[in-house]
Amino acid sequence: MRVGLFVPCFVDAFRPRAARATVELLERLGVQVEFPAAQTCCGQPQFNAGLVEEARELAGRFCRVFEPYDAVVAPSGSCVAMVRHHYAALVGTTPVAARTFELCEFLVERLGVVDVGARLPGRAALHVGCHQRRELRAAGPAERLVDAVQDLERVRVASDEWCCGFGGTFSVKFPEISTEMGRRKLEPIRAAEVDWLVSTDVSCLLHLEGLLAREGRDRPRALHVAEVLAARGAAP
Amino acid sequence: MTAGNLRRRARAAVADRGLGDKVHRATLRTVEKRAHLVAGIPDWEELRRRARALRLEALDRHDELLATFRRTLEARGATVTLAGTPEEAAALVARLAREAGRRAVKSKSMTSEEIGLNAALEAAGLEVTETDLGEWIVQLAGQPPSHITAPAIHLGVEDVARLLRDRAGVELPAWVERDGTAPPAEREALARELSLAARRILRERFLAAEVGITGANFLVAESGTIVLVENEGNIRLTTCLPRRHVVLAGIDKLIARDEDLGVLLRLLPVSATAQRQSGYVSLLADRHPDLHVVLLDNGRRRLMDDPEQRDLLACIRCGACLNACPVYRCIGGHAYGGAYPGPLGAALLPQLGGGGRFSDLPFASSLCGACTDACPAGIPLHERLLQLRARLVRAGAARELGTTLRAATRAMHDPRRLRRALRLYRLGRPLLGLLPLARRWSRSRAFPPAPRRTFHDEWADARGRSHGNTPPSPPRTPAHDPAPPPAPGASPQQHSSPPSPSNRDVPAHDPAPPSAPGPSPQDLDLFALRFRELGPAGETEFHRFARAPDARAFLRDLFAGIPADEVVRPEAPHPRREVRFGVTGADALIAETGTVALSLADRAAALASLLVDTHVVLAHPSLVLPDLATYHARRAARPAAPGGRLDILVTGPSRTADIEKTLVIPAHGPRRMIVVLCDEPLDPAT
Ligand code: SF4
Repeated sequence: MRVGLFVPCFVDAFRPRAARATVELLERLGVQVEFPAAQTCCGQPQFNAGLVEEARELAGRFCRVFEPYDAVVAPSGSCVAMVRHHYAALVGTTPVAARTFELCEFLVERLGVVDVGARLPGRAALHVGCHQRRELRAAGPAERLVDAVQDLERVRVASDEWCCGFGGTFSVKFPEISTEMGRRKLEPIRAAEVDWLVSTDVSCLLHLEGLLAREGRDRPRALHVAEVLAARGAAP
Repeated sequence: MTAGNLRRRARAAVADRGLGDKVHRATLRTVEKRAHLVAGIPDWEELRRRARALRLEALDRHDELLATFRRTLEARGATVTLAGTPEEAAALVARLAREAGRRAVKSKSMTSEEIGLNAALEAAGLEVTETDLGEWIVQLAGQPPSHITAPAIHLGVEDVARLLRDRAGVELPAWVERDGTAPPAEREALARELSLAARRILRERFLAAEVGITGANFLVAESGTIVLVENEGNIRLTTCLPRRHVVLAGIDKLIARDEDLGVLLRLLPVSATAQRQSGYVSLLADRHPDLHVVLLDNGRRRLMDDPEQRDLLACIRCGACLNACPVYRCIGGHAYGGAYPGPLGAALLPQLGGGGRFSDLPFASSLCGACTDACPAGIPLHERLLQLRARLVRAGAARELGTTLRAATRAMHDPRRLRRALRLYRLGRPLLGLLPLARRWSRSRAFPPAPRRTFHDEWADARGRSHGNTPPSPPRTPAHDPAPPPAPGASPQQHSSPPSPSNRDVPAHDPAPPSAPGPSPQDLDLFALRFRELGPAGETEFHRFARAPDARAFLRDLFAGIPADEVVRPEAPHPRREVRFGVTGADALIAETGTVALSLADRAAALASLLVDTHVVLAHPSLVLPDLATYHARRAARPAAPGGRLDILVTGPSRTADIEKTLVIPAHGPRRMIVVLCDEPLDPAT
C-alpha cells in the first residue's frame, strides 16, 4: 500500500513536530509514508471564505498530487473533512477524496490498531475538531487511541464537544466572538486542571494555545494527538 | 447592516459577560435535557428524515396547497389574504384589528417581529399586549425577543423583577435591591412569584380584548387546520376569548396532510423545549364567525424556487440551532439585528426582503456544524452558510480578506513560493503585530510559535529530496529526537492509577414502549405514569374506577361544599370568568405523552378546560392510544365535521419556564388536572 502524507500548510509552518510525530508513528507501525513535495493546501481557507474558484484550483491540485497513492493520511480532521466532504461539489466525485483519512481514523479503521504503544503521564482533555466530529463523524477513533495511551487519563469536561472558536478566517473577521468562544471552551478545561490539552487539529490548538499564552499559563500544554501517540514515556 | 455594525454589536455583547453566562445557562440546560429525551426515541433519525421530506414536498406543491387552504378556509367563512411585503402585512393586520376594537392580545409570533407588527398596531391606535410571559417581559423592556422560543433568555430573574416593579408594582427582594446574588432556590421562588403576578395582570387583558392575534406553527392545507403549539395557555385564551381572531403566518407554514403532524408535532416540542409534548396543541378547524388569515411572502416564494437554499423554508422554528450554536451562546440574539437570530437567522435573513442589510451574517460562524446536527428538519445549516458566502463573494462582498486569500492561493500553486512564504513568517513574526489584520489575531491571542524549520525542510534534508513529486523513499528512522515534549510544571504528576474506563456509555434509559394497535393495559399504565409526571408537585391526579358508583362518589367528594356556579359541566355554558372546576370528556388519551385530546365544536366549548382552576377529565379507559403518531393518523382519517371542529391536545396543567427556565405551574390556564377513568359508562352531566 502506497501511503501519501498530507501535511497541511499551517502544520508545516507552525507545528512541524506534529507532522514528524505522524511519520514516526506510522513508520513504527510498519507503514512507509511518502511525502510528495508538490503538495500545498487543501483549499479549505478559500472555500470557507466563499472563494470557490480558488478552492477549486487547489482541490484539483491536491487530487493530482495524491492521485498515485492508495491512501492519503493527514494529521488534520479539518482538512480531511474538506477533501472528503466538500471536494465533490468542487471537482466532482474523485477516488482520491474517498481514500483520504485523518490520522486517527486511518490507524483505527484501516490498520485496526488502538493501542499504538504510546506512554505519556498525566491528565488530558481531548478536543476533537468540529469537522472531524460532525462531518467525518470520526471522534471515536481519536478517543479510543487516546484512551489506550499508557499512564494518560482522559478527563471529560462539559465543553468537550464545543467548538474552540477558531473557524479559519472567522478568527480574524470576528476576533471578539472567536476569542470569547475559545475562552468559554477553555473554562471547564482549566477547572479540570489537566496537564495536557490534546487536539486532532493544529488549527484549533494554535488558537487555544494563543489564548492560554496570553493568560500567562504554562498548563495545560497543547499537544497534537500525533505527538501524544508518538510519545514514548515520561517527560525528561 | 454592515460588517462593522455586526462586529460592533457582537463586541458589545461579548463584553457583557453576564449576558453570555445567562444565555449559556439557559441554552445548555435545554440542550442537555433534549439530548436525554432524544436518546430515548429510537426512531429519531427516521423522524428527521421524514420531516425534511414532507416539508420539501410542501414547498414543491406550494401553489396547489395554498389554493386548497384558501378554498377550505373561505368555505368556512374565514378570509385568507396574501401579503407580499412586511408593510402590506402589517397594514392589513392593523386594519383587521382596528375594525374589531382598540384592545388586542397577541401570542408570540416571529413573523410579527419580522413585519414590525406591534409598532404598526400602536400607530393604528391599538393597545397591544403580548401574552406569552417571555414576550410580555421583553415588551415591557422595550426590546425585541432574543430567542425564537425563549424570548427573554437574555434577562435574569432580577432584571425581570425590576421591570415588573416599575410596571406592575411587584416588590423587590432585598438581594435584588442591593444588586446582590441569591441561591438558586431563592431565584426560583422569585421567578415563580413574578410568573404568577404576570398571570394576574394578563388575565384582565385577555378578558377585555376585542381581537386576538396569533401566528401559526403549521397550516394544514387538506383540512384547513391552523396549528398552534404552546405551554402557557395564552394562545388558547387569545384564540378563545376575543371576538375576532387574526392569524399571521409565513406562506412556508403550509403542509399537505393532517397525518404529517404525527411527525412534526413529535419533533417540535422535543427540539424546542425538551419536552415530549408541549402543554397545549390547538388544531383549529372550526367554523369561527370572525377569523382572518394573513399570509406573508416577503421573499419566501422566490426562495422556494432556489434549488440550493430552498430547504431553509423547511424550518419549523424550534430554536434548537440557536441553543446548539456557540456563536449565539456568546453574543445572544439581539446582536444579529433581525427577527431570526442564530444559525437560522444568519442563513435566512439575507434571503428575505431587505436582506442586503444582513450580508455579513453568513460570515459570523465558525462552521462547526452543531446547528446542522441539531436541526430536526434536517437542514444542513452550516452548508447553507457556506454557499451563501460564495454567492456574497461573487457579488463583491467580503473584499478585505478576499484579497489576502487570493494572494495566498497564488503562492499555493507553487510549493517553492509557499515554503518561502512560510519561512518568512519566522523572520517577520516580531513585526507582524504592526499589520492591522494580524492585530485582529494578536490582540487576544499570541502568534503561533515559529519553529526554525518547516516540516518540508526537515523532510527534504532527512530524506534527501526536495520539490516536485517525491518517488517512494526508503524507510529510514528519522534523525530527530523522538522524545515527547516536556510535561508542564516542574514535577509532572505521575498517575499510576489505571486509566479511566473508555466506554462510559450513557445507560440506556426509558426505551419507548412498543406501540401496539388499540388500547392495552400497558398503554394505560404508561398514560398514568406520564400524566403523573406532568405534575411534579401533585398538580396532576389520575384515578381509575371499575364501577360507576365509585367514580360518582369520588366526584361528589371532590365537589363537596363547592358552589354550583363554580363547577362547569360538559355542555354547560362557561361564565367567562375563572371557575374552580371545569369538567370535560375526552376524545383520546395518549400514553406516550400523558396527553388528553379534546374534540370540540367551537371555541366557547374550550373554556371548560381553560378558564378554570382545575380541569377534570372523565373518560373510558378504551380511549387510550399508544402514541401521538397513532392519534394524528386517526384524526387525519376522520371525516371532516360539516360544521367544522377544533381539537385540543392538553398535556398537563398550564406551565411556563420563561424566566431562567424555572418551571412554574400554572401559567395562564389551569393549575391542576384530574383524570378520572371509569370502566362503566358514566354520564358526565350528572
Ligand atoms: S433551522 Fe432547524 S434547528 Fe433551527 S429553528 Fe429551524 S428547524 Fe429548528
